[in-house]
Amino acid sequence: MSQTTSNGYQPGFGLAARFALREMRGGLKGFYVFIACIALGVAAIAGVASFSRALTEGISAEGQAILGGDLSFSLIHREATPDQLAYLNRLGATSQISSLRAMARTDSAGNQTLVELKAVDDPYPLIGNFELTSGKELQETINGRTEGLRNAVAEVALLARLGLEVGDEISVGKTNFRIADTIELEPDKLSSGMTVGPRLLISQEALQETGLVQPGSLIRYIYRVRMGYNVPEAQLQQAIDQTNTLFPDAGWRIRSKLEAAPSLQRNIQRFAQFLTLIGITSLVVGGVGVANAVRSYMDTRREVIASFKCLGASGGFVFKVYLIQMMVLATIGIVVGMALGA
Amino acid sequence: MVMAGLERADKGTVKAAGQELGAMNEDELARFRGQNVGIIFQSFHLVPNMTALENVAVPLELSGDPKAFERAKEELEAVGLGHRLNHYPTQLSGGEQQRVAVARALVTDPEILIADEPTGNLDETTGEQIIELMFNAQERKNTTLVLVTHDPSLADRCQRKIRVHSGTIDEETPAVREVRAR
Repeated sequence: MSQTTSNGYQPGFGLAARFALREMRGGLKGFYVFIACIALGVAAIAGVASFSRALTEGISAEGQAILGGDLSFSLIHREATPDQLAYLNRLGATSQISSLRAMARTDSAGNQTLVELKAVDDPYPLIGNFELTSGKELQETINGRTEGLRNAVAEVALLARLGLEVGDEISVGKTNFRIADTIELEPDKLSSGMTVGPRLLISQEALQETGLVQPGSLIRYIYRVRMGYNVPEAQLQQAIDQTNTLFPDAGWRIRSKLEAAPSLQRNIQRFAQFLTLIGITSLVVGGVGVANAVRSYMDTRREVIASFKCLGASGGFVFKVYLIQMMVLATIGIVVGMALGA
Repeated sequence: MVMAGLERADKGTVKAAGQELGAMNEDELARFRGQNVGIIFQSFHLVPNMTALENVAVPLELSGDPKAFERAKEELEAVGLGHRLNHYPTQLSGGEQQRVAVARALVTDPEILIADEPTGNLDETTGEQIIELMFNAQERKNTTLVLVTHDPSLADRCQRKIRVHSGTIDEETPAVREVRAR
């Protein structure tokens, strides 16, 4: 009588994989819940990740437009010194924006509301187009006068809040303005972060006339520099480093187009973390479904497992066979989930 | 079942194919079965998602035989199923399934072939064929055939009969001492 085997032989992973694949010839019947549970959880997490990445990448890609330049230097309370301005002008095309919160009043009924007042110069905007509802040029409009009053352009929300129409008067500080147009598109709006009121936009000269520029006024002076087209990250960093070396005490906050809207990016990140947490929770809850599906499947395989053990399979080998099957099914679930969530 | 290491004896020692089974753990018992015991069940117990050839090759693959499929094919041809190699159990008749089970039990050339009511699920004619097949195989392989049956005429064909009634041996022909004396 011949012994067919060497006593020490241990069936390996390859044989277990072959057995597992043979066992799966019956198809995925009975595994739809298993696959669906994993696919849904993975889809939720992948969906959140790809959504937040799309937003973040969108902000990065449009960083120059959102920031309104390649670099932005912002000062509070005081303007840049002539030295600093000359330096910024050497870096590239420069535009100055002054932004503050002010009360806008209507003469007639004494209505008033808080506005985000923004004064811009002629080069503004350095990137993108500022669009007015009428289609007129921004600078032409705000530098002009209508019936003796300086022109201002406002967001539609401001008109609605104060019950005004284009052509009506509005007073800010000591000056009366004529609302000459409404804002259709403000290209750098996202970089302003949180706002408390609707936008009112005037020229730099007009701002000086309002009398709001006083020592201690909470005015933010923003200087934007456009260095060129598609300026590489290294060059931006070099410019920032050089600025810090030349003007270590300037006290300005420097932002590059790579961090155009930091508060928005932080919000997206937080939101994504929150949604990922929900996705993980759903995956854990789905794990109960997975466990049930596996248990009921293993019940149906009990007879086959018994046959394997009668034919000389060790417990470890049987475990490997079914572990591989579960891993294959989980992989299918993950692939389906990633395809759905991507 | 105790002889195959599928169940443990309550007391005493069990020695089969020259090995003491009581001291073995589950994996050692599985290996012992794979190498020394072929089992034929009443309800065939073939793996439904494997073909006849794969079913027969399983014990050889588990023992690492590189010629598993060649030997499995030979064994299936020996039981008259050379034309059904790639059929799944559901595509085979009861008799054919039991032939596959017989081939699977014999393929490792086991020391002991255990058949537990092998004809219980078959009609009379098919049952007789399976019995002939097993007795022929026993002679061909020179193996010990342990046959569990309710059929006294079938039991009469065996060299030794042990009648079990309510869990105890109540008749043994020839007796152990006679067998040992031979």
